[in-house]
Amino acid sequence: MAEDKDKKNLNPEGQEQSPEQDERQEQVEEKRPRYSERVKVEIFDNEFLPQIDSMYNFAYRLTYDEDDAKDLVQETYLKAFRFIDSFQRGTNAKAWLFRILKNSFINDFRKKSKQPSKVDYQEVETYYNSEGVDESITTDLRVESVQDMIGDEVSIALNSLAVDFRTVIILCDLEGFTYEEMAKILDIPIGTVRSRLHRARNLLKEKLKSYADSMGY
Amino acid sequence: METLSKDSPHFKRCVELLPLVLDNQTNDEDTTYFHQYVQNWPEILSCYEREIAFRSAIKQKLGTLPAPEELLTNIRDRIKQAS
Repeated sequence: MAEDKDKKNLNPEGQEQSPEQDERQEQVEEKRPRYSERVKVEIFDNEFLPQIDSMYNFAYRLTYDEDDAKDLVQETYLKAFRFIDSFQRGTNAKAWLFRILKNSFINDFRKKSKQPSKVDYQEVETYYNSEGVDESITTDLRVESVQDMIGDEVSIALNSLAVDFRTVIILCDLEGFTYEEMAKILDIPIGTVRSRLHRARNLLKEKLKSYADSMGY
Repeated sequence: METLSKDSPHFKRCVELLPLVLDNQTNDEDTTYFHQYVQNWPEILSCYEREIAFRSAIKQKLGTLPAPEELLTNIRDRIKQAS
């Protein structure tokens, strides 16, 4: 029952929505032409499946468990296929899939852990709205010290960030999404994407600096 | 090129563009503009170079994990069952 209820309140991208939003969504769906089975398979094979490595990477960096990452990617692809009619062919499949994956992670996996990460965005959210922002004011960290580290140490530092901060670094620095794409994937304004990125990078540098100092780099 | 002062409007523009260029969020025109004018201000150029090197090192250290082979097979099987 609970599962049915969840399904009723989710939009194609896996977000929870109100009955009014459901109705609007249905109206949009009715207007959009349905794909034939052949076209569905074409879209799935040619536009969705080539993203599997990026999807797995994102899932793994969110869950830090290989089995959970596989389950999350599999679930995302099943949802994508189920709602394939709401995907507009030729548009940004990768961003669409990442949005589903991120929402699946929030709705299912993060609830399972019962340890939702809490981040105080008070100081962060307005950062880029202020005048005279100087990007150069960042934690000082020598690049050489990062290069001396092994990949595991960088992973550990990234893992230790709250998931919302970790996510923006993955999306921007590893996956190369634009601010606009990230805003859509994360359902936050572009200004928030930028402020969150800035804060996330500084936090990552602080973590790495602590490690570098402790190792005498 | 003649060295410009920090009072130049190009300085403010370069500072504005710095985070955007670092995040690859600028068009070709703005990217070219930034690289052309940033040479006037070593402090901005130094910040740019440090940040680029840092992000490159992070990306290299984190690497890319290929999806396990069975994952693709499992997804195809599940889709066949679902369709």
